[in-house]
Amino acid sequence: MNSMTLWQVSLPQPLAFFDTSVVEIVNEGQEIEVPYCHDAMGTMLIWREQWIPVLRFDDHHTQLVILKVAGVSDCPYLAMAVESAPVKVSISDEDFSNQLNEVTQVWQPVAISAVKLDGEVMPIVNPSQCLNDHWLAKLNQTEASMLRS
Amino acid sequence: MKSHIGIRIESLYLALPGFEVAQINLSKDMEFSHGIACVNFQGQQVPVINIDDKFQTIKGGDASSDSQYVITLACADDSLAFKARLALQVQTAFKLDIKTRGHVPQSMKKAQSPIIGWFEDESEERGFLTNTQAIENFINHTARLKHNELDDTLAG
Repeated sequence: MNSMTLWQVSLPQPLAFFDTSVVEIVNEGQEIEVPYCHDAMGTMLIWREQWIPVLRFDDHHTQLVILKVAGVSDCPYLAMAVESAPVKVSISDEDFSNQLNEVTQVWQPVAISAVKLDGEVMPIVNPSQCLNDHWLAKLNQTEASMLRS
Repeated sequence: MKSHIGIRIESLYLALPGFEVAQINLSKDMEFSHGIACVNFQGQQVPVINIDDKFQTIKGGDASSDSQYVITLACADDSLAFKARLALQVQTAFKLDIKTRGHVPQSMKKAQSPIIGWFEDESEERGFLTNTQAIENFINHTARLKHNELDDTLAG
């Protein structure tokens, strides 16, 4: 039986990332607002002497998960603001779920897969897809409460 | 050598390539023709634009605005002739040395964003890089969006 490590985050809606996607967890950081950006990505964080975009759904979330982005030449890293410190979980093959349609619709386009933990199906998110212009533009029209439900 | 011009519009701090700022006037130099504010640049009437610090409100030059200055922006056209494209009302305009700079990822920006990158000046204050073409594209894009909205409204 194969085991694998995921990082579970809370928005408070649960999401997961593969261990290889998560670079660092930062408690708080210096952010700068960038005008005329997508609603959920309106600031950049100063991290390791570089500026990286922050994906944020709640202004009160101060925990930042630094994620590695593949295939986007001008953006190798992305920060996601989450409700609380991410939790490392170990999963096995049996924990994977093929029921991606049970994941909240807004996350489906950016999910690589899904996993069922404690009876709840949650998406395993691809950080690179979170920089998809079409997905970010759709978020501009989404009620913030939907993302927290 | 200070190669950029820094401008402030409310809380927004922008840097433009120095050679693209063709002229700086006072707002009281604006002339109004058919309700449109313009400044004269080498015999050409250049329309004046007033924007807010979030790029959400665009309107014509406003004589009652806090912005005391009008900068005329120019760039090369298709024939490589250097022409004035628009004028912008600003609160301040000054020569600027950029200490460090970087890009803003394309993914995070809305379509036709006027923001090209970020910069830090000698006093380590941070702002954003732009240029004449980016500002003109943004204004034209916003005008098209508003025109389409009006068309949709009229169509019912």
